[in-house]
Amino acid sequence: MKIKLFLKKTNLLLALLVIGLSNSLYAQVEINVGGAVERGKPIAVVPFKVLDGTSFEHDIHTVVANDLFATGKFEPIPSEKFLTLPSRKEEVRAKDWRLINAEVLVYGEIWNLGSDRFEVQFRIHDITTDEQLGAAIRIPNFSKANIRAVAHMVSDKVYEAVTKRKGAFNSQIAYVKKTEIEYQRYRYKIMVADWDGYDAREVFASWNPILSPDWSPDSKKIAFVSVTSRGPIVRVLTLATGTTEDIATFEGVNSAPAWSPDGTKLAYSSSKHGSPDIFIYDTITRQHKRVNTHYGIDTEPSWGKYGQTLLFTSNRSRKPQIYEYNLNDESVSRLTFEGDENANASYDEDGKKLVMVHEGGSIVLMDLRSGDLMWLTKAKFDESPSFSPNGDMVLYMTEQGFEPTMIVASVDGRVRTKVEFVRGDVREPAWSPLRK
Amino acid sequence: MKLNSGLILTILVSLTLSACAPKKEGPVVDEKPVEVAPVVDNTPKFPYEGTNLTAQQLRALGINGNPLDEKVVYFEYNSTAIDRRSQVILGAHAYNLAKSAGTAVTLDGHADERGTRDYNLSLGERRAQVVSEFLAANGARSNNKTVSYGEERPVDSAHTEAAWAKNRRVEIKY
Repeated sequence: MKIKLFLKKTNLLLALLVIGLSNSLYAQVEINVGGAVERGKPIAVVPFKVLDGTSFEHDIHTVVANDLFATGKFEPIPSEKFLTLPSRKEEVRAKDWRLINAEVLVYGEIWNLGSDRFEVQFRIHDITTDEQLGAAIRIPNFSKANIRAVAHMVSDKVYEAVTKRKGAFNSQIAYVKKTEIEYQRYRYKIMVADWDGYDAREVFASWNPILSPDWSPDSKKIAFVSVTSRGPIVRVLTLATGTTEDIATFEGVNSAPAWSPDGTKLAYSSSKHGSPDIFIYDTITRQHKRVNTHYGIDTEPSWGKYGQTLLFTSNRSRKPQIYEYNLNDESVSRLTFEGDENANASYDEDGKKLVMVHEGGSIVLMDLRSGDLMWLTKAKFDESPSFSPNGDMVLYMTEQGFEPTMIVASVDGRVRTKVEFVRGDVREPAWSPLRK
Repeated sequence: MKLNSGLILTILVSLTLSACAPKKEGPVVDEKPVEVAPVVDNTPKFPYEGTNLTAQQLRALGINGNPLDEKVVYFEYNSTAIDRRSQVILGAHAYNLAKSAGTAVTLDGHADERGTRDYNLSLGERRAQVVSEFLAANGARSNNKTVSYGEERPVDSAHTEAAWAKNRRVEIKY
């Protein structure tokens, strides 16, 4: 059975209006696709009680509600509706929460330990069974400035307790920001930020256009393409030092780097032999190996979970389509047949589906077993999709009123949130692996 | 004196008459085009080197003047095919570049914003390569270098068919 979810423009406008008027607390964009889809789990995140009254720049409960909302699996209840504001176990009465249809309750306290040290303790309560989910959770010894990171940890714990899946709220995003320094003269920067775009910091800058940032599995390096006057080259940035290493500088186009899951290899596309082929660079032996050859364009490699397969885009059938290369038997099979063009594919965490750019500008998921497509967006210019490290969300670029806009969509297509704190002419977002 | 002047007048008149006499015999109207014809022959039928098209035929292809002054060729969406206009322009450049060996030529390939950035890098390169191959196949003895900027350097950043058409290009620099 084919599942196709189409976005209706009117729904988007309506959702924007409703959200804008009623609740600025939660994410800015919600789109309900396709009509009859199940709702997220109603959750109440109570403002954490700060015992000594210290005021923080951000509220934990707001950050947590935003995080959970973006996954599509939760529907945070606005705190104005809460009848009580418990911070301790003995203050929780299930009845108060059933009245507002909450199914999960999160509440806790923040202690000031002195000298800019704080501690959080919180609990997750299943209202339907009136039982606490797991033990109380403590996040000890953090400084005031790290309140958002702590909030994202709370989100991860709640997400894991309720969905039994890993949370991805403590991961980061990298993206490219283009800034006009003087008339028609641009500076390109690689930025790294929290998943919601907060705390963006510049990690690399260049006068040459930058594309395709890709995180190493240990999150310590970012491979990228620099479009120089001699041609595009593949480089690797080490985040701790800010130093770069040139990996592929062959004559022609070198592009689309992708780290292998074990972090020892980089797949990329190079036209050093004429037409663009997929190569693998081994960071240990420092050898480059061509893994396939075809007179067409072969580019945008992306590794399977175990490093045994590579997805890539090829126009060997005249238009770009997605192919899969098996490193063991060196076979190539075409995966996409629906639509004139499919490009820039990557597997999800489970290797069960892939996300790609369909027909030049829609973000589409494909079930690898059935081949069925599910439209996350039906658009003209959406691009650069990447899965969250747990596979439950997709980060991509779109345009809203001619402004480049970064969006996170839940993989069920139910919810989309604007990556709130990202500003400027941004492109090419890439979601980091989970912090280890 | 009067006789003399009368004589001179008579001679002048008779000379004039005799000069007019052959005209009256032949077809007067046909004579003038015959005099103009050599002027037409002086302008070459094909005004520019390296093309066998008339100025009018060039104009029909959107080339006003010397094809050598055209330094940009354009492509259809997702295509690397060289159309008629490009063939004429590149033919003229190839003829020009055949005169001396080793001229350094840079061919900058570009794509429009549609499609993914990495794919467009490769597409831009293919376009530049196709142009390079066309020049060589038509006699150019230049030293060609192909560079791709993908969709990163549009000449028109509007999201319109017209803008895209301008951005899908190869720039010929030498």
